[in-house]
Amino acid sequence: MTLEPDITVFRPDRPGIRKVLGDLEAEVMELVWARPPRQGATVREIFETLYRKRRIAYTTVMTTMARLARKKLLQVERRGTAYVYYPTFSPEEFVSRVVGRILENLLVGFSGPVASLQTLDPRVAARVKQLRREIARRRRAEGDR
Amino acid sequence: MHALLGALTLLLSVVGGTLVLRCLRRQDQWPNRRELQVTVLAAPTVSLGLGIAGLHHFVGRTCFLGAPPWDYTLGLALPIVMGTVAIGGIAFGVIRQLTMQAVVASRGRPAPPPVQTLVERLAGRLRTAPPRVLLYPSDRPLAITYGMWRPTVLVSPWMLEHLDPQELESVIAHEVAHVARRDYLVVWLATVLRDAFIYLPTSWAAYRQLQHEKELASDDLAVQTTNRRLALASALARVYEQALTGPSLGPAPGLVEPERLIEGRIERLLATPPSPVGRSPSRRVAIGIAVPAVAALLASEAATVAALLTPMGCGPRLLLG
Repeated sequence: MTLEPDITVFRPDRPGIRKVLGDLEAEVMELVWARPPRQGATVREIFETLYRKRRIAYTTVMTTMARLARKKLLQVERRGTAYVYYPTFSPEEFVSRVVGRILENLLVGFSGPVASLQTLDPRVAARVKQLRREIARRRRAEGDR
Repeated sequence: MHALLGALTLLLSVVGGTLVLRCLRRQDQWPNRRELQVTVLAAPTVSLGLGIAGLHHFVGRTCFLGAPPWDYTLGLALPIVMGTVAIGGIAFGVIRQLTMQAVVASRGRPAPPPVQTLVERLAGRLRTAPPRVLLYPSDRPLAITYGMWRPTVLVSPWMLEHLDPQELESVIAHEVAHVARRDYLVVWLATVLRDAFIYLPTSWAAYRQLQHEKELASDDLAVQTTNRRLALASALARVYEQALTGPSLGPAPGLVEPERLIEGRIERLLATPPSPVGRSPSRRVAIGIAVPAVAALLASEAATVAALLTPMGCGPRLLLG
């Protein structure tokens, strides 16, 4: 399954990625993106850079990075005793995906409001499979119509 | 009395709107249904107009001098709040349209020539001008029509990669049907009117009906154009399946139980012949009921206000003169 950023807010009055992220979240992402992608970043490294600009608690940075991981913007790996965070998307990919999602939610398209259809209910998935089988059978019988 | 008048005009909008929506059960023509739904959405503008006209006597005339202060305050606040919400709704509609245009201008790419040709052929069959077609880079199923004066059909590469030629033709025919019906403009207007009167239940009910029925009407038109009923059902089922397993951005605003809507569309396409919309085959009977209902709603609003004001020396002549 494709990873998608879990974005639920859109503030048109804010600049850049702050339209969909909080100020601290955006700052953390900018610092993570500023590093080579495969190098990753620990909470301490981000904390030390941020702390030079303004007094901020280590736990605040840790909570923010954990939240960004839950939103699927960061991926976390254990390296020894430390957790290293990697960006899931490049800045360009992230903007592209967010714009795509906003676009889809601005207007109702061919399929109607599909953005809200995600479900884990196996009965719904089974029903779709059944519908697809029935359609395929009838299309074969009636000559691909 | 001021507050009562304001509340009464809103109540009449809701009651009249509900009656018109009920009359739609006897109406089986898509264009007529859409006209009446838009009328229900637009009817509260009469309440707003009366409320704003009523402000005139607060500043220039003296009426209801014996009214308690809370009535004066409420009577003043109601049209001002209604007007502010309406301006907000219009502004939001304009911002949404401009955002859409900016996003598409920066990221949309010309669609491949075979898709352009397909759109031109289908537009010719529907006797409408071919819309602009753009490819939007997204790994999700996407096919939408938007615009105000110049409609644009936007498709994602997912649709071109995952649908077979018959399914793709059906999807494009569905979008061109939206263009032929001018849904892009009507939906924009309906969304602005819904947001302008977002607090009225009839606005939501009419909007939901209009949004759902525009898809059914475009399905019908696409099937008439391509004669590919099953291919359209198949494309819908594919998109449905992808939407179920793909990522989600949270609930789409304003529409409930979308899985029932999309399943309903698939089942309707599989049914032979397609299910009728309403019960009565008579267009004249339905129009004969619904149009007077709307006219009576608007007339009763104006008459109620005039009848209540006149005995108190605040009749229309004083208000307007």
